[in-house]
Amino acid sequence: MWLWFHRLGSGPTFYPFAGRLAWIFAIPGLLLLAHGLYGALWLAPVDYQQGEGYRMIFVHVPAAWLSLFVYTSMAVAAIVALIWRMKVAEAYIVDAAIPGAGFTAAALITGMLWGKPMWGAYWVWDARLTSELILLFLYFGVLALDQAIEDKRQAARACALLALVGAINVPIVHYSVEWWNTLHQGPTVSKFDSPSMDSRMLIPLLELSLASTLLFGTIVLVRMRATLLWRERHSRWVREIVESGR
Amino acid sequence: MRGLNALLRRELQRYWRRRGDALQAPLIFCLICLVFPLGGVPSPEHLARYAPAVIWAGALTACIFGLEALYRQEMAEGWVDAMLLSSWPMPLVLFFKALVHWLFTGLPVVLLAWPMSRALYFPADQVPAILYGLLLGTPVLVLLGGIGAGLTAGMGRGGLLTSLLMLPLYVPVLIFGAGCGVAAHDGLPYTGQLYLLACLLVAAVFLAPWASAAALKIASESS
Repeated sequence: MWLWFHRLGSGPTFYPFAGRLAWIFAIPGLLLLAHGLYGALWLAPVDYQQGEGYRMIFVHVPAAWLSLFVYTSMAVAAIVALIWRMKVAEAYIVDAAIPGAGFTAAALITGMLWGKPMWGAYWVWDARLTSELILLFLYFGVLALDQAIEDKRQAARACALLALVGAINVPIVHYSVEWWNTLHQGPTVSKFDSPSMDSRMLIPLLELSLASTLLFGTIVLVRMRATLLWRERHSRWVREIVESGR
Repeated sequence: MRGLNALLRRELQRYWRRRGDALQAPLIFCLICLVFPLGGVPSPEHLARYAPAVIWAGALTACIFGLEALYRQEMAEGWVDAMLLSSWPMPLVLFFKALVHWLFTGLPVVLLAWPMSRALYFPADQVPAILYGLLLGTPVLVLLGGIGAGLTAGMGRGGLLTSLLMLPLYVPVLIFGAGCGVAAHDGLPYTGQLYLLACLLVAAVFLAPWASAAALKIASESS
């Protein structure tokens, strides 16, 4: 198990493995996306209070979920990168940060578009909105730090430390901001015993969240493959891959 | 113990010799406090309402500007490498470094906050709320800032990047620190915010030097 784990951390083993894994994530991801979208846009009933407008939730919640999930996964990868110096974990941090920042921006923008008709304002200084905005800046910080350091392995380790410090800080930021001001609706999904949502809405929402997570996995694996090829462009295994044309 | 004395003396001398540089941070603090009345309505009720926000915006900016002096030169001179090679525990060294840095850049801000909050018409009997908040909050800013300053220490110009990295992490300190002043302005008790700030300070004292040491180690690996 440990041997396998360590081997996976090196480029030549990870590269083909990631290629297969990307497909394993992509196919169910796309199927779930199609089924979830059909359920969300055609089958799910209209909300008695928000009308058709509530359907923004099917984009908003997966994006918001991924913005947090990606940052958490970056922190886990950061621990692996700092302790074992695994190249794959180092590559993951920056390669996940770009889609992560995208999902955070998507969550903010869809939230604003949803907030305008429902709350009457694009932006309110509410706890969750504000902490999501701060999260976006944390992603930007990681990306800027990576850009600023020439040596990419050193950059990855610096980003790892920053992501870790940020991850310790995120709950503190969240609770401090919550304590400061809150207006956002309470959780509707996580209350599994008695969800405050109809199952015809809840199931597509869960499907779409899972689909986005799987597709994020595909994107990040493809990006990591490219990163590893570039970083190890002088090594023999890369030359062999390029020459064989696969 | 003697090594500790030498370290503290070296740091104090270093800052004292360049006390003009160290004064820049408090001066920026004052200037930012003056920008707001000029840019807004200089009426007492408006200024007093926003005094905690203005004071804390000034303190954050001053602290971020001051961070440049923390490790940049030490890195260029090879002090960081020497310290990493020595038998000294790096987190302890960095803690004392941050302490001296705070004495020269943070403490003046706390002291200047008194006349500045009065200049912004903040009620005189409530000024201690702002001062206590700054007294507990500014060391957290310096200790946390050490992490960002450490990460960017090896770069030619990292000042702007440091502020981008650090400002999101400063949010809790800002909320509780300025929250003290806001509560005091409204005549509410503010001990809760002070306790939370003290919590952050304790956490920063015990965790931030380790993270700063790791950051400096990563930054020194390149050359």
